[in-house]
Amino acid sequence: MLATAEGSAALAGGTWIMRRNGDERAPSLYVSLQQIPALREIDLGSSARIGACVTHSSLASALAGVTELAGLRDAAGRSANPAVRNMATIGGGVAATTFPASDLVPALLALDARLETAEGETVPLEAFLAGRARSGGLITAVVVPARPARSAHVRLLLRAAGDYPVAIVSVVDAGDGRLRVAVGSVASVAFRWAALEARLDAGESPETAAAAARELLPTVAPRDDVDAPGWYRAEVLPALVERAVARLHAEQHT
Amino acid sequence: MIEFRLNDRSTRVDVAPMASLASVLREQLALPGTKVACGEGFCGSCTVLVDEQPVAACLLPVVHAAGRSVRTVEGLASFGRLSPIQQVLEDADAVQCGMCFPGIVMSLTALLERTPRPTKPQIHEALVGNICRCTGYERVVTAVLQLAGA
Repeated sequence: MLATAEGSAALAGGTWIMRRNGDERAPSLYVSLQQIPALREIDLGSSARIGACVTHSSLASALAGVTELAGLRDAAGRSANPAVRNMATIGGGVAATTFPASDLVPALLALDARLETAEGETVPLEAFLAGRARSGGLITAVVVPARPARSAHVRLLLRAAGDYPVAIVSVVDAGDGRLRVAVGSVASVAFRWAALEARLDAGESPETAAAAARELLPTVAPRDDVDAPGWYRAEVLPALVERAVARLHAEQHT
Repeated sequence: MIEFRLNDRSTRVDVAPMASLASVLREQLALPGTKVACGEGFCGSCTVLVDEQPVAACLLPVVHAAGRSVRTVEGLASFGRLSPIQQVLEDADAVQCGMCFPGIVMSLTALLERTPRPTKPQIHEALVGNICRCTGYERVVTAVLQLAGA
């Protein structure tokens, strides 16, 4: 149906699509994926495979005892609010590329996640976000290829829990001596901060990580919107990097 | 035609499948207890339970309620008796303007079914998505703690 009907789109949890009601550019036909049980499966082996229609709350519960994936667990379990977490899905969150404040996207970016499509393709999330590999295919699962040593996810809210974060930092120690850093809600699309990653090793202190982040702020292109101006989103980044690395080190002992 | 359980009765509605559950409840099914304030999933005034989980009814396409069980604030009292959480909130005089309250009651109903004796942080966490512009949170939390300790 998706392939044959022009102007159609897949419907997962609906939390992003329903906010487009009245938007003339919205698709005229939606095909709901809700009745496909295979899309709600979670397989936590050495690589984690998460069905596209797994909700944020189901993912957070499934990851409750998986300390290495604490970053992904916190991204799933703290985003938005409980009612939205019971609806919003991982596949929908990845596919909603016009939503810049997703928590899952930077957490998955730092984990080097890949997307599986119904056409049998495997697409790195980073390439998908960069638009280099947007096949138009239906995302069926998100795969975290290898379990990291440690991970941590921090977010800054301006007023209260439930707001969109103005900046998000997700860090992963993959066990290869380096740190991976992904940034959400700061630029219009979440990104891996490659310049910062090049400066950090796995044992980096929070303070030196923050100092490196401050030096490298000119490599970030922040976005303005009603919640916060771009300069502010960039300005808070070093502090968030510091908190994220501190939490990463704390994870080791839990 | 979309069919689901609504407050323990089977219900059929002939509506656009992408209409929000909140609008269908209010406009087709004459259940205006579910409020719509922000319409974007931020404020929690439209919180209802679907298969006992709190969801934002403003963001739920009604077709996704098909075959499932929906509970609204109208379904909590039975034979004119308020549910325990409704009664304790009433007794504590915790209700102010009422706009956010059906949503708060539904979030707390789900919390108490899962966690009959919640701690203060668990109550705060359950109410993260329910915004009260009268800022009457403290009485609500105190009332829930009272019920949990009873």
